Formats: sequence, structure tokens, C-alpha cells
Amino acid sequence: MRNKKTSFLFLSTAIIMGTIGFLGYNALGTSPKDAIFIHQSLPKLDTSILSSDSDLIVRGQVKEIMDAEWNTIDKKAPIEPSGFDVVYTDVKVGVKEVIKGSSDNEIVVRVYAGKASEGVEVINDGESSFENGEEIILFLIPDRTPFNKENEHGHYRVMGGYQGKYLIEGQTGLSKQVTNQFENKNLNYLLQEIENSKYKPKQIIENIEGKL
Amino acid sequence: MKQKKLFFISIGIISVTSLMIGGLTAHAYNLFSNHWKASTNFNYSVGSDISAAGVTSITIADNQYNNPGWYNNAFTRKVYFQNLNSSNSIKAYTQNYKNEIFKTNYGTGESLMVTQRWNSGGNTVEADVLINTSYYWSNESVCPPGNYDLSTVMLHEFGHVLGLDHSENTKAIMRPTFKATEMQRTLDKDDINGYNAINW
Repeated sequence: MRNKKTSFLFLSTAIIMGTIGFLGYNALGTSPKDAIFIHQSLPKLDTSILSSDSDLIVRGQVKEIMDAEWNTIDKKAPIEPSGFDVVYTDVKVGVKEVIKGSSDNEIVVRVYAGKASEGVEVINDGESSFENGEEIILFLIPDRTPFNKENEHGHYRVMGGYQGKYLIEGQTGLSKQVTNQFENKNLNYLLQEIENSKYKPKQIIENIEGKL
Repeated sequence: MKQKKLFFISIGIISVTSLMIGGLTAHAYNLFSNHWKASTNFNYSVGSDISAAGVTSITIADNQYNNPGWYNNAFTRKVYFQNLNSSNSIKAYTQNYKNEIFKTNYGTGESLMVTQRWNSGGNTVEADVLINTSYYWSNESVCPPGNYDLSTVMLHEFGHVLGLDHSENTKAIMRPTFKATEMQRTLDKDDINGYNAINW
């Protein structure tokens, strides 16, 4: 009788906790219902392509995440967004080491997402996310997106969405690891991969005629 | 006393293991918190500067969601994709309650396609799809080197239009990245499971 009771208790616990795990996992990622959603399908870019095709590769630290703003002329939320109206967030990164290209001591990286002081939130699933103080390696390109309406040159974009940002973790040089959305590897290994490819000709062939 | 201790340790182990198994067996697909209302027609127009072959590739993609019979009726169609056979001349996202597929130069190193969805009252009310012409696109049955298959990536974008987020399943059409020459013009079981899991 006692054994039966114990078995029942074990079974119930397993079922209840399993259900909580299932529902908990599925509940992750819920988001504001009336936001503007931007969904990106990204080209798969390995380290070789990121290294050869990016204009600037730096190792640095996130210094400041600026307030999000609309890219409209008056920086106000449009009543009905049109013509690539969107919210952007600029991230200031202190450069510790330039691995490819040339750079100032501080650069600005632009992410097309965020919640400005007015208007709806813009949620963009392909963009890199940043946190103050984190140490990172960034593969950067000029902002040629149509969201950059004034064709400003004072900021960069992370190449390949979140593929072009690696977070550096760990204490000492040898054991430091880098991670992005898809992989985790040794920092020195990544730096060697970059070294092997950064001066290769660009691997993505640009469709200059825009034929489709 | 010892037995009691053992009993509670066992309960603890079972709880943690079950939590992990529950989480892991959940699924790979992910859903947005908003989507179109069921029984909606997703009427769309295609850019006038997109070739006839390009329009055919787009139609191949929308047919996958329109014809559940191809998948042994593994899902019940909730949204019908309808090409209005009218062209648009837009070059930028415009919130005008018209669903527009258009092409523009979005830059290399950026996305292949970008879908923008507007929502109101918890439901999607408009979705526009941008095709990045900085990349080479193929409408052929074999995708040439350096090209991306238009039908494959459009099938992915239409999944976003419906309410599917990126999946961790690398076989799902809703996986987040695509290599050049990669072709997948049909839905995976994970995509269908995601479709069925949308709270229509």
C-alpha cells in the first residue's frame, strides 16, 4: 500500500514538473502584441565570409546604449509609418583593438529596433543585442540599408545580423571563449580564423543590376 | 530518518529531470504572440519590376501553405494566400493595409528578405515583404553558385507572415539562416506543427 502511494507520488511529481517545463519553455518569447515586427532571413555567414567581407573588425567594450529614436526628420513617431520609418538604437563601443580596417577609439553601431519615447515598439529578430560593459568582437559594415535615410556615415552595422557579434567570456587569455547565436569557440581560434581570411577578396557577389 | 531523506532526494531528482525533459520535448518551432485572424485571405501584390519567373517562385511558396493536401492534410488551412495579380510600384514599407511584396537594394551583408508586420488589437493587419536585390536570386530548379533560391526564402517569409517565428530545428523552413544554393521548397514537420500550434 505504502509502495503504491510512493509510486503515485513520484509519477504525479514527474507529470506536473514535466508539464511545467513544457509550458514554461513554450511561454518564452512572448512579446508586446501591437509592436511592429521586423523579421529577417539571414544569409548563413561563416567566419571566413565575415572576415573577408566586413570593412572593419574590432575588439571592444560596450560603453553606452543610447535612447531609441525614430528615424523620421523630427524624430517623432509617425502616425502611419511609411518610407522606411523605423526606430533605431545606437550603441557606443569603445575600441580596444582594431583587427581589420581603421577606426576611431569609439564607434557607433546601429540596431534597427527599440522602443522610443513615443509610438509603438519595433522588434527586430535579426539584430544583435547589446549590454553595457560586455566585451565583444564585431564584424562591421557601412549602413547601406534604406532605413539609413540620410545615408549617414557616422555609424556601422553588424554584418549578417547577430552572426557578426561575438561575446567574449572567461578570465584569462588562453581560456577565453567567444559565443554568438550559433557557436562557442576559443577566442584565439577565432582570431586565427579571422587572420586567415581577412585579406581574402570579398566572397559575397553583389547583384549590381538588381535583377530578379 | 534516512529513508525520509532518500525520499526527498528522489523527489528532487525526479522534479529536475522532468522539468528538463518537459522543456526539451516541447518543440523547436516558435510562435509570435500575434497573427492573422483565422479565415483571412492574405491578398498580396507583387512589385511590377519583379520578373514573371520571380512571381512564379513566389506562387510556388504560397501554394505550400494553401494546399494542406500535399502534406496528407496534416494541417487545416487558416489563412489563404491570394496573389491579386496586380502589381505594385512601392519601394519602401508602407502601412496602407495592403500587403506588398517588393524588391529593393538592402545591402550585402544584410538580410536576404525582410518582412515587416503591423498589428492591431493583437492581430496582424498588414505584412509587407522586401526582397534584397543586393543578392543574386534564382528561380531555376537547380540553384546556381552564389545565388539564393527565391521560393525557399519566400516560403520562410510567408511563415513569418502567418505567425511563425524562427525555429531551432535546422530542417525547418523557419530556421533563421540560409546558405547560397540551398533549396527547400516544402514545409518540414516542425513547420506544420508550428502552424497547428498557432492559437487561431
